Amino acid sequence: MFGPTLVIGNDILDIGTSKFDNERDQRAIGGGAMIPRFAFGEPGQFDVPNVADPAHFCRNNFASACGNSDANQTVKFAKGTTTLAFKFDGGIIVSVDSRSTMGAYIASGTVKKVIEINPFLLGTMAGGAADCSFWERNLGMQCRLYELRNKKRITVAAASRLLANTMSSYRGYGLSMGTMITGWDETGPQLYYVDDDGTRLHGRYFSVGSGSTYAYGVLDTYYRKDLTVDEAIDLGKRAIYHACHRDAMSGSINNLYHVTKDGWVKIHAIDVNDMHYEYLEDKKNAMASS
Amino acid sequence: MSILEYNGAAIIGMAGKDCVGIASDNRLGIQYQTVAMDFKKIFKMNDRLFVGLAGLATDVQTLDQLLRFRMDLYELREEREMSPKVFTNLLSNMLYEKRFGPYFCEPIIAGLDGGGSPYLATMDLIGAQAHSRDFVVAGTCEGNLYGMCETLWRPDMDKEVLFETLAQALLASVDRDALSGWGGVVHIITREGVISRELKGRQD
Amino acid sequence: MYLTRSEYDRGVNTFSPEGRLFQVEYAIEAIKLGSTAIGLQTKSGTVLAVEKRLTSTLLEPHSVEKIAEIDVHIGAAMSGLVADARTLVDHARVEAQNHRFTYDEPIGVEALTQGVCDLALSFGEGSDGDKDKRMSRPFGVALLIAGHDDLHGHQLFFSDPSGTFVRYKAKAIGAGSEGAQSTLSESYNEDMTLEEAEELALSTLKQVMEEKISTENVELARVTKEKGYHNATTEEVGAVLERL
Repeated sequence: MFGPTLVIGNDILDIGTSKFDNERDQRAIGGGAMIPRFAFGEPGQFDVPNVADPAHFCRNNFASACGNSDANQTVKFAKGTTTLAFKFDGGIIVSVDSRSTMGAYIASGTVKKVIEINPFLLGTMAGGAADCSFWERNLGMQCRLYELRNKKRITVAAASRLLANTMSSYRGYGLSMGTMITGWDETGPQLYYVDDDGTRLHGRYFSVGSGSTYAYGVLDTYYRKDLTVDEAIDLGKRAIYHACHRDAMSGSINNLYHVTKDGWVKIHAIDVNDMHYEYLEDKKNAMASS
Repeated sequence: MSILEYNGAAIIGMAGKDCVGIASDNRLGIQYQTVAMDFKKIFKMNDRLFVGLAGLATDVQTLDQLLRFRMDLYELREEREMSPKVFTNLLSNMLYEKRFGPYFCEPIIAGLDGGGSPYLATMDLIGAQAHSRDFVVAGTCEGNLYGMCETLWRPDMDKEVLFETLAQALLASVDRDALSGWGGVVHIITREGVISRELKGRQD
Repeated sequence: MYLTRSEYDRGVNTFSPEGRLFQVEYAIEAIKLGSTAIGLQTKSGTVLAVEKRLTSTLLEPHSVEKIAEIDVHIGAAMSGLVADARTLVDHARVEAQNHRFTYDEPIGVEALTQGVCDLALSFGEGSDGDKDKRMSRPFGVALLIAGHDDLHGHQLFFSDPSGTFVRYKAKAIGAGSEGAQSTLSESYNEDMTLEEAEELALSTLKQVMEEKISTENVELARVTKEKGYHNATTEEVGAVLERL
């Protein structure tokens, strides 16, 4: 069934030879413990279901990918998020929530959804938490090897392409990832959106996750290219607040990063609930004065 | 997603010494979108009887109106207040009448009986009754609510301790549920009267 | 003796009756043709210095690179067939990154060296099912691997084509290694500062080099706990040469 047909007798004569070892390796399902000698995560490095069409099997049994519904799927992954990032004259703002849900259950309120790939690159996490963190760490490794081999930092364009290529090579296997790759390279501040079906988009601002529609509402209204750094930070914070307030799957802490030519800096981690009363106060004052 | 989880809710009924309490959250959502933060889920039937309805919001409101109608009619005809036990039977029968097209509601009944002792009951959406001496819970974070109540409930709590227990159990539970929260309300029913307090909860 | 050799020195996996693998020994010989490389371990860091052979005045000196960064905390100097060293260095980089990826910590210097030696030793025909293309002969290169880790501090390892690796306090490889090693034995002491080590490395190179030492024809690198791997700039090399 697996590999060459077994013929008793013939096989015994091969014991101790390389031929026997090879055939045994092919017979073993999964191949046993494998210590990867080359880069982790290269296509073909993962064990896949032992069926005729592994991609189809994955789609039917644990495909939370591609925005398809979770219906009929046996394994569900942690998701539900609001993340956003935008470019402006003062650099890039990356702002995210920190809620992790499994169905309606809030699994955690202290998730780090900004992944620090290296001092100049940030990635965000939406979709499967494991998929995002694994592949973005993998991206970090590829970027470091690029740096050692080419003696220069990788561009954001190239880094996001590496991730998009990885996603393409696992297309249909049910990976779940919607991410923004941001950073500052020789061409200035850059922002890309990459997702699990291999889409890679360049843009001025993106928002990803179940709360993205609310965040877009704020971004579309208040975004300007010439925001000051303080205004930009407030916009990033506000957009996440509104998403967390209205979206049940988003909430808890707002983590916000600012990317400049010297790399990224973490600006704040504020409880969204505190923001609610702060903004409520502002609203009251504004109404009283008008 | 179950239709019972379409709008989100968290309700607790809890017994104390000579008092009984009922608490709910304030959220009305459409699946994961929060639409209102002041949605009423607990209804006063009379001075000694409250009902909490968790489930589909439209059925919550319809059932409240139907119950109100039946309560008023009973009081006019019988010239007396309905006891919690009778009310439970009435509601149970109303729900079973719609056995094959049910109201998507899980009720919680909290009240003081004729002797002034706590009365707690709950039922499923087609009217199977369940009675309890300590607490009853319903809603989208039922598991969370059970966990909190099992931990915090003590026998013979006075009305202030009962309020605090209800409030803490509710707030802690909804903070781990995406579909309920956004503030809450607690009613403590005593022989002397009802104490109602609003709870300030997380707004996310 | 010559005859015995000629019968057994072809197959890389065939021992001679005396128990020797001639191809491996020849590979070790190849290193003795390479440019001299020196490594020194001190308490505050390790130093690597390599001679660059500039065979023509038209050669761009900076295009000859004989010390490579493996990861932030590890560097390697090479002597022998530099082309072979590239394969080993790239393998070492991948090993280092794989370790970081899997364990979220820097790889140990000894573990890294072991990883390099595993590849160094995996020459031969290979079996049919081997996915990765193997090297058909031993690598003709020796490495000095210098690095720092929290477990064993500053370390200097020497690895050769046989896949053996040994830890040294000070080691010279390449054409001038005999002379350089005896100079190191005389002048090295464990308490020297990093600056003294740099001076000793370059003065030793100066002695064994055929050409006159200059900022152009040597390469110098250091690995410290604080700053990790650092390849000295021309100015920094010049400053050390001034002190000699």
